[in-house]
Amino acid sequence: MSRIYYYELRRFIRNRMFLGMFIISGLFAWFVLCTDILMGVAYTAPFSGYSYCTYLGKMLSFAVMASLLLLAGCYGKKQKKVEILTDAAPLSPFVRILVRTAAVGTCFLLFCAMIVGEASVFYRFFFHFSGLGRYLLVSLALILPCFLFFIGAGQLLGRVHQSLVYLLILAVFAVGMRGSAHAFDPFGTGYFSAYPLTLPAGADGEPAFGLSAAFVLARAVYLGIGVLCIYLNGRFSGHKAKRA
Amino acid sequence: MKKIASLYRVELRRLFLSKMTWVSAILCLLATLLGYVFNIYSVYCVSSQYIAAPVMTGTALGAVVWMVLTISAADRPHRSGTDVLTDAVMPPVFLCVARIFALMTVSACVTVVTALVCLPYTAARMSYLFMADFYFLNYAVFMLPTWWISILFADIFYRVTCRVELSVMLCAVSAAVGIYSFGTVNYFLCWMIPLIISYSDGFVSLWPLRIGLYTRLSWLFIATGCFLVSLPAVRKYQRGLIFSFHKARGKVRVLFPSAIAVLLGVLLLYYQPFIDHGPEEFIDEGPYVVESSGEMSAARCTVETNPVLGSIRARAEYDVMKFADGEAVFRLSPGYRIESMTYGGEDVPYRTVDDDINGGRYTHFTLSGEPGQMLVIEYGGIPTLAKYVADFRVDGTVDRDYISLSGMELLPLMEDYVIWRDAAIDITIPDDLTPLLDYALMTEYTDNGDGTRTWSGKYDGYVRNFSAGRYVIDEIPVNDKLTLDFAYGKAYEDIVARSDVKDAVRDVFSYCGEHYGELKWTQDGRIMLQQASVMLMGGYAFPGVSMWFETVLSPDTLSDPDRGSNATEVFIHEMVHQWWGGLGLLCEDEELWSEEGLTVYSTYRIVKERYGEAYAQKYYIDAWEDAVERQNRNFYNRFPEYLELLPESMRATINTSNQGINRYQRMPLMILKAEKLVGGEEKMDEILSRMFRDKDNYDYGNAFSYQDFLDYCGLSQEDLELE
Repeated sequence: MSRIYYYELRRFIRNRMFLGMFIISGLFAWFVLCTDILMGVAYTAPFSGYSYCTYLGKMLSFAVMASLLLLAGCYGKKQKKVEILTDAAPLSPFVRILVRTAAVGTCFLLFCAMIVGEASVFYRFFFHFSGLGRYLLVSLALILPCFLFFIGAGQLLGRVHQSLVYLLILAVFAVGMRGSAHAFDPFGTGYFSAYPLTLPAGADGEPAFGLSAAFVLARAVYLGIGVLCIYLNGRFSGHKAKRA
Repeated sequence: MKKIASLYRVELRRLFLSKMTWVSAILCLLATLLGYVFNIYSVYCVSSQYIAAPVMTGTALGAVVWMVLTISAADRPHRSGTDVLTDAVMPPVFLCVARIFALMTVSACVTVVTALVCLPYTAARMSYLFMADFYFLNYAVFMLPTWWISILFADIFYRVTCRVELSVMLCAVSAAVGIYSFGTVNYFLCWMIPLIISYSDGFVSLWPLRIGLYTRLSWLFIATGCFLVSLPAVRKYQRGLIFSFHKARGKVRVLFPSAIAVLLGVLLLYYQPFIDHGPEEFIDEGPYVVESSGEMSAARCTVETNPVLGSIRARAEYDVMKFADGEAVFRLSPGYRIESMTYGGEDVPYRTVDDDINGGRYTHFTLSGEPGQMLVIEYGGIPTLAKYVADFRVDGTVDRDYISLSGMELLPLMEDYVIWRDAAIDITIPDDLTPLLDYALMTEYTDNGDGTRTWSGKYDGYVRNFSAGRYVIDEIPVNDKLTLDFAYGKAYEDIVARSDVKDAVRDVFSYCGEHYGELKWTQDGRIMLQQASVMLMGGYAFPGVSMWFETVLSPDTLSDPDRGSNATEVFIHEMVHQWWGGLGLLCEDEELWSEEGLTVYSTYRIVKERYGEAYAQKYYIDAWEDAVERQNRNFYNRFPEYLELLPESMRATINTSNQGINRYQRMPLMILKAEKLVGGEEKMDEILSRMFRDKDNYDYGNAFSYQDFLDYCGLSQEDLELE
């Protein structure tokens, strides 16, 4: 299983699209940091949890798009022809889905590492701030549900038709760029820009960092739906294999 | 070449037969029509709404369409599996060049059709303001070159990557750069949506078209260079990029012209003649004071304008009476080049320092010999825009229908010489323009017989402003002692005749006269109210002169009573400056206190009287409070120590925003608080009236300060502090 995982991972990472998206995301991340985040979000400090999470949310949409692009490649015509061979491997379809998800997930994590790394460099460079560690939990709360929800949905749509994954990418782009003040904002960009405005300012004028119960619930819902999508995808693959 | 021509004809025919081409053409047309529905320009001017908005929308969305069509056309042989055959029949490079020419031809046809389809509607909506040449120029300058650039970029991306999705991604990135720059200060990165602040209806300026054409040409050079260098990347023997490039014949031959083209484009962008290289924010240099003891008298200045190039050529002559100590300095617009400087017929050594500041560039010179001879400076060029205003206004411009030049765009501003005696100035401009020198109508002219007139006037060594346009000047008597000269564009003649704008002017002068006192300082009891191009983005006032915003007379402004803080109120604001500022009550210019606070407060009171309390509350008090709260909550205002860590441009943005809020929102709010503390509006009016009566006690060395205001109100600084 691990050999297939490494094979899939190598296939993704050696893809020119991965490299292209990685470079583009890196440049865009620095651009976002130097323009939007440098001014601070919702009157908070540029290195506040809210500013950092807004940045992370904005860039997560890029990471998700890159992952979906990689995933879309798995549902092309050529790939479907190869599936006849790969289906013959002694590996259950469900496990194969999990392996593929893990491989895409690794690429996604590489993107996230780059995004967080750039933020860390930016904060040190401009503000001599090195306390990003305190936002580890909230970062995970943003990253994991995002990944599982969109990759799960992407896999289900890809099973129907490859072009539906591209449509999902367009939707991710639109949602990611626009954001919504609602707790159900999938990337949290709009939420983290609006939520601090509803909070009382502390002695230093900064609202205390925290998440609303609705936002935590929304993340749990996205996480659950994502897991369910991946599970269903595995089940459908299993049925198809049996029919074959 | 014959092969390419033959392939071009085949490719062109194929494109015209392709459904996708027709769909693309329709999409481009629809995109342009969309611009009529969604006006992307906030400033209301008919030409912005019916020419700029559709052209820009069509240009940007059309560029995306052409990128998609180009990638699709480039990928077609590969998609259909015929690339192996076509590559065997014809060198793929030839096919590629022919395809690009064919796509460019089709896009040119679509541009012409789009312009012709939109023509009747635009002409009907703009009525007598429509100018066919200006309309077609917009399509020719903005739409077509931008589409060509997008075609070239898309083709380059596809040829280098040979992957549709990667090319689309790279196109998206380049489009994001081209669009994201829209609204920022960068005219030159906006390759996809050219930056246009606004067009003027009454004072048509070709400045946006000039900079648009210049940037399009620069980007076309860059795109063509990149296109040439990407030609050897056409894949050979179904191998990769590096192998194909390595094996390409003639790759060295294309490298040289492509490098030249890219370099030319980059140099054109860097050494552009439109915007100076000064700081991003206004640098407060204090009042204009001559620092040395040199003395000269201005003798004569001759200026010739060239509306086609947007440039001037001028010659300034001075009789030097006493040399300045050491090296002397003058400032001119950074866009001008000094052609010669002589003293008594001998060349004067000078050096120009490329350190632009507030729209001027320093030239250092030293005079030698004996005083009493003539200093002659010959110079010319295109007046440049100061960088700190470049994203919101256009001032210095020389056009067929409108000319506007500030002091340094007309004459050298001497910093080490006191200039005595009035001098003569001769300015040659198109013969149908009415010139105003320092806001006064010029009256003497000579017809040159070539469509130009040379107007003659007097100036006192330094000119503040010269403008010329198609003006109509009406007299509005306010009372026995005061008459207003109301100068507005000929295009607005009907609107002025139909609206009550003259009554509004009379109302404002009556209100301020009754509440604060009569203006006694005006020469001959006259004040000039001059309409300025919308591209100035606001108004300003000097003693006896109020420049006001063009859109005050737009049909939209005059017919919508619900619009708050609009152009009409800018108009009122500028008229009120006759009482607060200049030769009214001269106020100290401090971080918080200036004449703007008093002027905004008075405008609020007039608006409250004209439109009611609810209107004034919503558009003035609530807006002030909102701005002040935003300023208070801003992180960098709470922790100014972090401001120093920011890049200069960011610091400038925050400082400029703070300056504006302090003057236009915080101070009026503090005066409103003072009004409540002193006992209401009537009491406040009495205080303001007293302040205005005592204006003669204050001058440049002793301007009316914030402390003076507090003393008149009987309040302390703590009393007016906002929570």
